[in-house]
Parts: sequence; structure tokens; C-alpha cells
Amino acid sequence: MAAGSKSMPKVPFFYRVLHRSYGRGTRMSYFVSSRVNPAGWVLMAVVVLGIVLGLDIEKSTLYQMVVFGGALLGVGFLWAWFRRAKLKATRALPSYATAGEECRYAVEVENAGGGAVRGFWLWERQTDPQPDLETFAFTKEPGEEKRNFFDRRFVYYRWSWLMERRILFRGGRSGGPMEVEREGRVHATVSFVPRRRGVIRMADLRVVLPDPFGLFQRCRKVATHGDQIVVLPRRYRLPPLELPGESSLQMGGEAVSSSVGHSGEILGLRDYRSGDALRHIHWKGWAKAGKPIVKEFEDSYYPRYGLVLDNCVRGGDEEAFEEAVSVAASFASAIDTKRSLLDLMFVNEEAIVMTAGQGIAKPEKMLEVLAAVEPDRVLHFEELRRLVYGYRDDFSACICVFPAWSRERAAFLRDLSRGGLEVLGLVLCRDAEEVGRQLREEPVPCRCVLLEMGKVQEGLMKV
Amino acid sequence: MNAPKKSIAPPRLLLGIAFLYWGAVVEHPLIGLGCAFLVEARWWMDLRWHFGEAGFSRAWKLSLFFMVLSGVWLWLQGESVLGVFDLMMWLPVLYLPVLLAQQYSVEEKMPLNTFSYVAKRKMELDRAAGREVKPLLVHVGYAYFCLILIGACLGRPSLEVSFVAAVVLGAVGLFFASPLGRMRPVSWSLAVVTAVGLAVGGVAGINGLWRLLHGGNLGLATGQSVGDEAHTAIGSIGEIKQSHRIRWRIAMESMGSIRLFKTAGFNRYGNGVWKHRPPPQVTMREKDYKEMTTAGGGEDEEGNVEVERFAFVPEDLQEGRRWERSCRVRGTVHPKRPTPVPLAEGARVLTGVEADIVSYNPLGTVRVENADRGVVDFAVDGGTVNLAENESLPRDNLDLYVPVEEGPGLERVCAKLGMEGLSDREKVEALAEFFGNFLYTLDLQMTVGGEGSGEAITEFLEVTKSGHCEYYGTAVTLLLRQAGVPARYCEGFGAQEWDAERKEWVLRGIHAHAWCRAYLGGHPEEQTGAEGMVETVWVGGEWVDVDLTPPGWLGLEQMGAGPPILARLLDWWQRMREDFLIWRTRPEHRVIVTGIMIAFGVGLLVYIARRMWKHRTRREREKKRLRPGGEGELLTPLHGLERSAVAVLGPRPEGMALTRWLMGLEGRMAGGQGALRQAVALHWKARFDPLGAEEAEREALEVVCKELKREIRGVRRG
Repeated sequence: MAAGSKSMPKVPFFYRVLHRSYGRGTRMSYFVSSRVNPAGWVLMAVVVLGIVLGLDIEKSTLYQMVVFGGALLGVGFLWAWFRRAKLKATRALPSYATAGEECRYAVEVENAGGGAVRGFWLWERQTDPQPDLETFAFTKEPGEEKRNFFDRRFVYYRWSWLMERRILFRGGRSGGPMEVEREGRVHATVSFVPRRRGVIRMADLRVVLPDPFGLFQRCRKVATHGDQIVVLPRRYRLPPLELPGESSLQMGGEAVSSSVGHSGEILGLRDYRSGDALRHIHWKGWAKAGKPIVKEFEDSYYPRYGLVLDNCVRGGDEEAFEEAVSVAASFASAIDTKRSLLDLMFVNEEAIVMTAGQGIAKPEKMLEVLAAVEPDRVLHFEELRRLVYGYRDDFSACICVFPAWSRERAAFLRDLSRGGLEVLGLVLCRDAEEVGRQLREEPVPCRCVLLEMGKVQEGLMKV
Repeated sequence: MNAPKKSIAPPRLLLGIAFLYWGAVVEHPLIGLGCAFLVEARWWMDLRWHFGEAGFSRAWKLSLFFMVLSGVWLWLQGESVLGVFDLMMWLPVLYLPVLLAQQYSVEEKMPLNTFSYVAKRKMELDRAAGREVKPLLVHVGYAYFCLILIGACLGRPSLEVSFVAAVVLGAVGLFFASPLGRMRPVSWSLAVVTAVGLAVGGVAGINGLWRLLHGGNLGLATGQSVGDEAHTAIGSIGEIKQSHRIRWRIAMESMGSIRLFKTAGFNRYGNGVWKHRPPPQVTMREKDYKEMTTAGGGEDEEGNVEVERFAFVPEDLQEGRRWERSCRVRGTVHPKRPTPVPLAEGARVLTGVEADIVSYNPLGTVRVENADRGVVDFAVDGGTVNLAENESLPRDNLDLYVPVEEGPGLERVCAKLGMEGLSDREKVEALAEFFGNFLYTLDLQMTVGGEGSGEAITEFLEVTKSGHCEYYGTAVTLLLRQAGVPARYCEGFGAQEWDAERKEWVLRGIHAHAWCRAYLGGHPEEQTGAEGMVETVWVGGEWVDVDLTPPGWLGLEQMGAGPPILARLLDWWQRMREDFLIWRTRPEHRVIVTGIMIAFGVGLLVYIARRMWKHRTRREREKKRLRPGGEGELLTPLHGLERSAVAVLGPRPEGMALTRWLMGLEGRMAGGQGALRQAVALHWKARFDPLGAEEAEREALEVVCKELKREIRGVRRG
């Protein structure tokens, strides 16, 4: 996460102090908030208010309520404190989840303790979201320069923002209160909503044991294996796509396709050659001829599309980059790869091309790759340009997704369009008017759609 | 990690019942009923609104506006800071817009930052910077429930009622709020009983401690009477600071000769405290107070004749009996507690006191009780000498009492002054000469006895010879008593600041004064009281103010008065507030003020109603569930088992089929497994078979489900 990790400057002492104190405060807050329920907070607030207002017991009877509230808090606290549970659990996670969409999975819970456990639920906690010292010291919150002096100096909002970014999912709890007998088993469904793409490691399943009033609760760790789930990028709805470009002879095509029922015309039979697919063997011919005979197909013509994800990201464009990945994922899942080939291109220390369609790979695989794509902070844009130019002649059309706009990108689109290739540029931007002005001043010879942050779906519907 | 979602909102009727209880306690049942109706009407009304963040924020601002308005109203009523209790009591009504917004909103919850300007502003800034902000959403139902209970407790219900109500309502609220309340009723009940036991013990302990510390009975609104005790600074060390705030204004035609306005008299001294001690035949101080006789027909400043009059003796109110109007008193009183008022000697009739009761005791203390508002304004008619009813004759056992600790010192001083053999007036003159060498100071120092010493007066007389008016007043009273002259201690104000423009004496905190009132020229006489008790009463003399505090005391008091501009501004503010209160409560102005207020209220109500009506929407009612045999055949009697089974299995997890969930009962029921499977099969047939279940099968399903229900109840019982 930290920019330029190789030549990291020394973290100032002040930031070390801040990092330590914020870290301690966050841990304490997390500890308390995971053990005190909202009802407990409300009751504590009532007791405090009652103490302030009802000190003089001759003026009101508020002290009675304070005493009763205090008794409830005391009983609730002790009750929760003495609750015990020893559980083992096994998760049955799905292969994928999608960012922003609820994901459910089953958990089998086994009671390994000495007695029945009643009135509990499960809570899947995520790993500590606190940023490390370098990230905290050198990553600036977007718009931080606009904050007041105090906020800029003590950077608490930066801490909150980094914490927020590192929270991988919301929820993670099972349905209603459950119970399990001694040595018994019970199935629970845990649901959570992934907040961003990537891999979520599930390693901290807790059993939550509340007191009868629901004021406090005890959180005990459940013995379980560490599991992980791949979170695919969020995808947007796209209008019916009519991508431009003509079909052309593609290497591979039917010959490597694993699909059945979409073959081209059979031209004839020939002798088997090493490397021919077994499913193309003509069994009857083999039986007659006594040697392997295979069917020979007419060459297939498919359109081939390029999907270029510009992952060269400067500081502050991280959110735009995430949106760019989502936009790319939307196209990757919307383009019909049964009738076309789709090449996903980006740079991750080295140029990467991933082709999907016609039996080469499924679109899910492409989404999985997009789930793991990282922003390129060293800015290998030239490498990406060279990569795309290398494939330019094979493409029927090319879709380029940019997390920001620049002259370099404008020049790239101009060069790409020069050979007559149909190009669609999708630019994520905070200020569409500003980028629009730049495009009017230096136009590009292809269609460019501006996707304003927060209105990406609306923008995509215009594609 | 929070409790399950189902418990976020209070159940039907809980808030309504809480409002009814509140209305009963604060003695405004109609308002409580109205609030309960508004809150509960959501359950049978389809009207809803899309409030959103802006709408909730407006509801909160409206509540704050009501709060400020109420604060201003209380302030205009002349309430003291303690009026905040009354304001808190009304919080459930003042914040009703927030609750109604929650109840009638299409959105289930409201953003928590609705209640914080800073948090809301931060959210706006974050959004302007393009950051995604998802505010924490809350349902305010249970928090509001607590607010209603707090308001009710501040309404001063009786001790037993309030405790039982707090326990019952609190327990009911917790039962529904708790995720485990219904699932584990035994544990829940055990926990509640434990908490109630602790609370009962705690309340009893606090009450006992309070009695121990305060040495009196615990009871609401019956505390010590004001004007019955004067805790002086005698025996304390340090500098005394007095307020420059105007306490009273006494308008007179001219300055005249009156220089002392008495608020209270006391007859028993000990350890720096002067007390009103009633005669032995009167058991309580309160019983030593008599209500002044009242009658209408008085004239106020503008000549209105329907003003109430109060007199010490009924004869003074007789028609044709006219007294000279001596002055007009205006000042702040406590609307709920008796407040002593400053009166000059000779007051006989008080005209225009807007209060339920005006009472007085034999020591000359006159109190206003249950004033209509925080400021009183009344005229005083009378002569120059106090009535016997107003100021009783001295008694040996009360008005000649000298504390044991101070006795020897007082005796030495009297001997030194040669008081024995002098007439009463000569004794006073001897004392005046004696105190002529003393100094007035507000900076109190002790040299011998230390702070809290019971011989502070002796030390004042023999060692320090410097003190403030409380020392002088007490010392003169005790010395005269020691010398055989009945005397009492008086508190009040010294007339020091004449406002020539307004023709009134301004009595401030710094003008607070203490002096002695001695019965001169009297002689003892044995009298038999009504109950046959023989006591020595002094007769034949007269009560005279003896103020021997050095004349320069006011100069010292006025030091540190602060910048004159600020003092003048504060004076103006206070005068304006009091005068406005008096003005607007006059009968002829009351109609105008009430009219304006009603017009404002109605206007505001119409404005809000119009806006609400324009933006109304309707809730989508749940689709009517179809019963077996009806069109659609969506539900079967098996669905009816869900409620009973929750107690055994816990709530059905989201997404789990009913039949799969109910099969969890199989291992728990002693018999009935076969019935359960049969019921499930019939249920499936009724729901999913295209041909549907036959009539006989439906009936069979109903019978089986009834059996199963009994079985489940058996499992619940144990």
C-alpha cells in the first residue's frame, strides 16, 4: 500500500506517536464495542444522565431508575462474563463472492464443551484493519490538503480513512440465536457483504454469548481452520453491447475449443496427427481404416476484442482505479466469449495478457484475475502501450479503461485508433467537466465516455 | 457485532403506554394521551413520508426549536436555573417530532449524525470531497422510551409508584429489546428478578443514607421551609463574596425613613446557624405559619379593582378601611417553594400578590407560596408599627436563650460594660458605644477556636473585634439576651441604593443585611396557654430594630462590583425581563400575548402540516395472507407452528425452509415424529402439488398440526 517502498524515508517521530496512540485507541474501542451492545450503551447513557440530573433524591425519583439501570447493567455484565462455550466449526465457503453483494455460507458448529450452549450466534471477525506505520505516514487521504490545520496535523481522518479502506467486509454474523446440545452439531448460515475485491481470509470465527438482557456479550474464539474466499470485482449493468469490428481468422479457434455443439462445418477426414484433440477422432473411420482418423473442420472466424485496463495509478486515484477494475469486470462478464475472444491486458511489474473465450479460458477466470490486479505505482504506462500495440492488428475492437485522464493517455488512444481499429475509451474522473474540456481542446479520434465517480452506472448506460 | 435486527424497534403499544404513564405522572394526562395516539397511530395508518437525511435533520431542528422556545418561555416565566428540571420533564413532548419522523418514515432507521451538527458537517465535507460516506443508522425507539421514563421520573411521582413503574416498564422494554428474552424466558426472568432485588436493596440503601446524612424524613417537595434557617458565615474563615444582582425593587413616593427591609426573623442560635423555633405547643415549624386573610377588590397600579389582597387580620380588609400605601415590591420568587419577601415595619395589607398562599410566622417572616410565575409585584399598605399577629410577644424560653458555649464570653462582656441595672434603652446605647470601636470586614479570620468553633461570637467580641453584619447582628442579639432583654435575629436588606429616576430602592445581593430586633421596655408576665401550659411572656414593650453594624459596611460590600457598564447592562436586562413578565401577565395584556402565541403556534402547525401533506406517501401493506382453502393456497396450518417452535428451536434462520427447520423438532419430541413427517408431507402436497390437497387431507393436516402444537408446548414445559 505504501508508495515507493524501496526508498522509504524515515517516519517522523510525531507520526510514530500518533500511530501508536491511534492504534491503541482503536484496539480498545474495538474490544469494548464488540462486547457492549447498543442497548448497553443506551442504558449506560441513561444511568449517567440520571446521575447528573437526579443527585438530589428529594427533587425527583430519577435515582430509582438509576439504581435499577445500574442493577441491570451489573447483572448483565456478570452474566455475560460467566458464560462459557467451547465450539468447533467448519466453514463451507463458496468459490467466489462479489464485492458489494451479500454472500452466504454454511458453518457446521460442533459443541466440544461440557454442556449445552444456548442463545448464541456466530460472528466472523476480520483481520485487524489497522494500517502499518509507513502506510499511515506516507499515504495521503484524498482531499486531505483541503482539511483544516488541526486535521492535517493530527491526521486522524487519514487514520479513519485507511481503516475504512482496509475493512474487507461488513456483517459476518449468523441469523438468530442458536443452541447446540452437548456433543451436538448445528448448522448456521453466516452472511457478509464484501466491500472490495481481493482475497478475504477467514481466520477468526467467534461465538457471541450475550446476557439475557442483550446489554453485554462475551466473544469466544471458535476452533476452526483458516479459509479464504476470492471476491470478484463489483460489476455494473451494461446496455446491450454491439461492439464494432469484423470477424477474422483466429489461431486456435475451434481446434482448441472444449465446447460442444458450436463447431464449424466438417470439411472431411484425415489421418490423426499428434496434438489433435481426442474428441475429434472419427471412430467409425478408425474402425474401417484400422488407424486413427480425425474429422477436419472448416477454419472459424471470430471477432477478437481487447480489454485494456490502465492500472498506472498515481496517489489519490485509488478509488478511481477500483472503479476502473469494476468497469473492466463489467465488460469482461458482459462480452459474449462464446462467439468471440477477449484479451485482458494490464501491467503488473510485467505485461500481462489474459485471453478468454473459445475454450481458452472462462470469463470467471478473467474476473478472478481482475480480483487480484494491483495498481501499478511505478507507472509502466509505456510498457502497457507497447503490449497493446503488439496485439493491435488482431483486434476487431479495443476497450480501454483509464482511472484518470492525461495527455499520455490521449496520445495512446490516438495512436491506437490510427490503424482504423475501433476503440472505445472509458475514463473515470472526479470532475467530468474538466476532463471534457481537455478532450475538447485535444480531441481523440475515437469514442470516449467519461464516467464520473459516483455516477458510473449512469455513465455506462450511455455506452 | 450487534443484536439481531428484529429487536431494533419497540413493539406495538410500548411507547404509547410509556406516554400514558408519563402523562399521568406529570399530571397532564391529555397531553400524554395525545402523544400516545400520535405515536401508536402508525400501526393502523398508511400515511408515510420519505424523510431521508434532510427530513430527519429538520425534525431534529424542530425539536431543538421547541426546546429553545420552552427554555425562553420558562425564563420569561421567571424560572430559576432549577427550571431545567421542568424542561427535562417535558423532553418527551419536545422531542416528539424526532420520534414521529422515525415512526412515520418509510426508512427504517435514521442516521445517527442527525443529532450532531459537527458529524453532519463532516459528512457533507466528505461527500463534497468525493468520499463515500455511509452514516451509522439507528432506530431511536428504545432511546426515546428511556427518555420518556426519565421525564416521568422528573415529574416527581410518589416513591413507590415510580419504582414499580420504572421496574415494570423497564423490564417490558428489555424483554422486547433483548434478543434472548423470548427464546430463554427462564434465564431472562431470573436475571430480572436478580436485578430487581439489587435495585430494591440499592434504593433502600440510598434512602437510608440520605436520611442519615440529612437527619430528616425523605419525601418529595416537602423539604425544609425557606426562611426558617439562616446558615451564617459565623465561625468560617475566608472572604465573603456577595452578588451584585438585583434581588428586589421597592418603589416609594420618596426615600422616607425606612432603611431596613426584613425578610425573615429567627429566635434560636447555635454553631453559626439561626433557626426559627416555634413555641413548645407547636410541633412543626410549618404549623407555626398562618395564611394571611385574603379578599378581592384591591386596586393595582393602573386602578384595576379586581386584584387580590392579603392581610394579617381580617379587619384590615373591611370595606372603608384604608391604609396608607407605603411601597410597591417587585422581585423574583421561586414558583414552587415558599419565598420570604422583604417588608418594612408596619406592613398590614399586601395587594396584588399573584400566588396561592401568603403565609407568615410569629417572627415576622412573610412568605409567598406557589406563585403564579417567577416574579411577584405587589403593593404594601400599612402604618409604621407591626401588629401583634405579625410579630409575637417574646417568650423567656425562646427569646432569651443563649447558647452554652457562648455564655461565659457574653457574661464577661456584659460585666465589662456594666449592663446590670441599666434600662433597656441604656443597654442598647452601651452596646452602641462598645461596637463603635469595632471594624467591619468581609475577610474572616480566626485566631483561637479555629473554623467551626462554637465560641466564634466570644472571639469576635473579645479578640478579633472585626466581622460582618451577621457577627454584629448575632452578637447584639445574644448580648441583649444575656443582659435580660428579649431579642431576635433578623435577615433582610439594607436600603442603600436609591434610584431617584424610578423612585425605588434597589436591593441587591450586596445589600443583604442582618440585625437585631429587641423588645425594649417590656416586663415578664406569666401566662397560661390554651393547653394549660404556663410560660413567661414579655409584655408592655415594643419591638425595635437595633442595627449596630458600623455604617461603612456598604462601601466594603460594593468593592469589586465590576465594570459599571456591564453592571448597568445586567441591571437593564433583569429589569426588562421582570417588567416584561409583569406587563404580559396583566389581564388586559394577557389576551394579546395569548393571541399572538396561539397565532404563532397555529401558523407553525399549518405550515408543517401543509408541507407534510404535500410530500406524503403510503406504506405498502403486507399482502394479505391467504388462508388454507382460499385462493392461492399459500399457507397451511404448518405455518401456524412456527410461533410455538421458536421457543424450542430459536428464530428460523433466514433462507431456511420452514419444513427443514421444523424437522429440528424431531429429536426433541417424545412422540409425534411420525405426525411431524405426515404434516410435512401434507404441507408439501397442499403447496406444491399441482392438483393440491384434497379436503380430507387439509382437515387431516389441521388435526395433525394441532397435535404437534400440543407436543411442542410439552417440550417447552420441560
